[in-house]
Amino acid sequence: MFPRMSTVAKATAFLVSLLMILSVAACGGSSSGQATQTGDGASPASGGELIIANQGDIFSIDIWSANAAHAESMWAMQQIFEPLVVAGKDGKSFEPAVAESWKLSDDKRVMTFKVAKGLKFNDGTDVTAEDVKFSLDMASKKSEVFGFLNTAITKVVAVDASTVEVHTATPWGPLLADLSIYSNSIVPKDFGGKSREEFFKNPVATGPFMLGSWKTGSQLRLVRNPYYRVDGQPYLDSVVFNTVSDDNNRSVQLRGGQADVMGAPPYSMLGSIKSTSGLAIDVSDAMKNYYLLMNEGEAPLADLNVRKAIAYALDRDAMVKALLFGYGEASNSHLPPKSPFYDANVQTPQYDLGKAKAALAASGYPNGFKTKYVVGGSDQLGVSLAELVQQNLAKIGITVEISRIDAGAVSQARQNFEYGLSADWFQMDIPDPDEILTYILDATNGGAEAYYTKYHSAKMSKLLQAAAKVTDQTKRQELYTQVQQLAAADLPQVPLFNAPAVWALSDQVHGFEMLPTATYRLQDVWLSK
Amino acid sequence: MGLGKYVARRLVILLPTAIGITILTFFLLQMIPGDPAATLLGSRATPATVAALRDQLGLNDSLWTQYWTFLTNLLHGDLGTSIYYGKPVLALIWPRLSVTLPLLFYAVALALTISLPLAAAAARKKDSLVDQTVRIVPLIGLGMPSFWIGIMLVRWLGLGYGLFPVGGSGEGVVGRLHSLFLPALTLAIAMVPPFVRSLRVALLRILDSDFVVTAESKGLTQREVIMHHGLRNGMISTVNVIGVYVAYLVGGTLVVEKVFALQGLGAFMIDGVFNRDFPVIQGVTLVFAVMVVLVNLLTDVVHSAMDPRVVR
Repeated sequence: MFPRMSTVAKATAFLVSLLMILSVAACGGSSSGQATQTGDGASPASGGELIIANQGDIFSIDIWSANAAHAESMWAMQQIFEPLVVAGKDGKSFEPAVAESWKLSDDKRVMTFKVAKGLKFNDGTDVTAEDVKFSLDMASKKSEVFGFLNTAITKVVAVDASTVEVHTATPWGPLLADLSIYSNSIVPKDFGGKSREEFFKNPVATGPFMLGSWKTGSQLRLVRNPYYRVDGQPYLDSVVFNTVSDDNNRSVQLRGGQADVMGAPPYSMLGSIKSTSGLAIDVSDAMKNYYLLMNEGEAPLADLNVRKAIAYALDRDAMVKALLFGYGEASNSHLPPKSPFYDANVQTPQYDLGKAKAALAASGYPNGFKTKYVVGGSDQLGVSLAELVQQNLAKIGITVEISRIDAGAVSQARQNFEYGLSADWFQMDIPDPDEILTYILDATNGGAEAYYTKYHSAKMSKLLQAAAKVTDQTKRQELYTQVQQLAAADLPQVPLFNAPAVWALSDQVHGFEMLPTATYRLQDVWLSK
Repeated sequence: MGLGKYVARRLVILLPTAIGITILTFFLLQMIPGDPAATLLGSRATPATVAALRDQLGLNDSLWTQYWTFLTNLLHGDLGTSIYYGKPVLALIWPRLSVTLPLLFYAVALALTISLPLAAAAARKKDSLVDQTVRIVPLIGLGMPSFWIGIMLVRWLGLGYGLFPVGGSGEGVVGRLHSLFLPALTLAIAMVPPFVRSLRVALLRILDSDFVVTAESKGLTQREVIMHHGLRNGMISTVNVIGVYVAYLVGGTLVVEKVFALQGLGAFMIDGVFNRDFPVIQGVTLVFAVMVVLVNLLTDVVHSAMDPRVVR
């Protein structure tokens, strides 16, 4: 997952910062648990309309387009479209969706999928292997935003009406994970005769819901798919996504009953929501990984001892307390704990002021230096994080100059390498570390020069490539352990902390759960009266 | 000159004004840091994907080519296609205009409804306690930030007493009026002080003039004088104040729209700016400019209609 810089009006910025200042003083860091909803032993009731108040807008539901490649649009598309397999709730395994079974060939280069028997699209037509081939070919085009995930696929063959073969050039460990992403969803061949634009105005797919109506910019309404492959599901008749960008208004809508689910509640609000009767919060696994990016194009930061000093100087636990109100944990690795192939023994430098000073003394800049920290002005958490980093680094003699600019300018500064430090978060879209680690650590294959840090390591690129080109789980774990250890030693970025995704909801909502892959399954949700 | 000719002449001048504004907007936009393609792709952006998207969006053509395309499309009534929504900007503007325009008129109507009685009460008893109160208390509304007033109204009347919906613009005429009440009130509170003062001053001047002495000597009470003669004459100068404020509000509804979750033009504009959605920014700027010119024209027309002494 990657952040879309949300537009927060002056009002919200003012109010949230006021609330944060007041709440930091009162600091109630309760531990995060799993879904804290009530009465989930009850049996699901059918019917009803779920109203979700989103922070950001839904721009498009075209599964291959760049403007749909952000959180709110993805969540909507994941209710309408389904790929061959979906990530399991544990964030590591896979469950059948359009495919009912799959088998890897002996040479490990061909995965054969069987299309689920009797599976129909939401218009009643049958799903065939030809539809699968068409969809995957469309998704694999280099021009599409997630096309890069399919580069390992050489060809897709429809063997017969219900059998599809996916061929890869080498054995490819992340294959199922890559195929589980929403952009690899299955749609009818040739869009059933329509143009691509016409098709996505009323998409035909296999997900639990289908498009009802859409007032762009304000409300998207989905209705139940009568042909959904699981009997009895979805329980809901319909789902409404409202765009409410103001944090205060969104929370008032939840409290007033105008919304059942509230997206992106500020961490500072969680305590008061939990203690309000009729409301609950859902805290997912901590999968949003925050990193401090250090531009090695700037002389002091190219020095490994300087980066080590920075890593030792940052008090991550204090950050979790101050910024996340305790909802989250300090990172010890570039991967979060719930990620496949995470290694708990990796030793990324943790807070130790003595070691920080020693590392700086051993570097080429023992007297410290000045550097520019670039942050989006409307990103409250980012700005507070910048200030904490500034304070921490001041203790070892590094002067951080915070440059608050707007979101568009931040991304420009990073791409032109006109910055010293910056922070960002990244979340896996697929249950496999290949996507995220290639982008963050592999300058050769990741396309962004290792997350805009100019970190070049032939050894790291080799390890990452090797870890993807093997399917044996044990071997992959060995390789990813080495990757994590090398990342902890080379420190191209400093992994700061992992944050959960949090949702606030009415206690009449059951089955709503944010999964490790930053998705939720509305087919499992039901409303009690 | 006749009213028809006057209006026609003003409308003709609108055209070069509009074109000038589009040129200014277009070239100013090129100067802000931040590229639409990179902003759209967010953390997913790599130099390769950004370049590919820029090509797709036609952003790699020369500036004059891009402007020429924009202008020729404009003459066909096409304001361009939003980078973020992939839909025509004009189609995105209409539903938002139908939220912002009623909001503006509603706010002015509420402001006048509050200001007229207050100004009349103050003018009748000049320098009395009523007069002092009316002159000072509304200033509080001028000083408080509109987003704070809005948030307080939402929490108090919306959530607390459940009298009004807390967000959205409602369905149907009655629903609209109900949903837009709080946001319109928020805007009105800021407009009341200047309206009241201007109206009060105008009324005082009138109450001092000869024809009022005549009316009173005819036996009309002060209340009748104000109602029949004072307000109508006093409104003339206030119309200008109203015109200025409405023109100022066009584009100034952004904060209220955000606080009340209204999908209006102001919110659309600011989202477009943050997203670097150039076609949206250009399209909405043009719409705002045309609205301001039309509001000024309407003000002048109403003024000259109300006051036969004005030479057009």
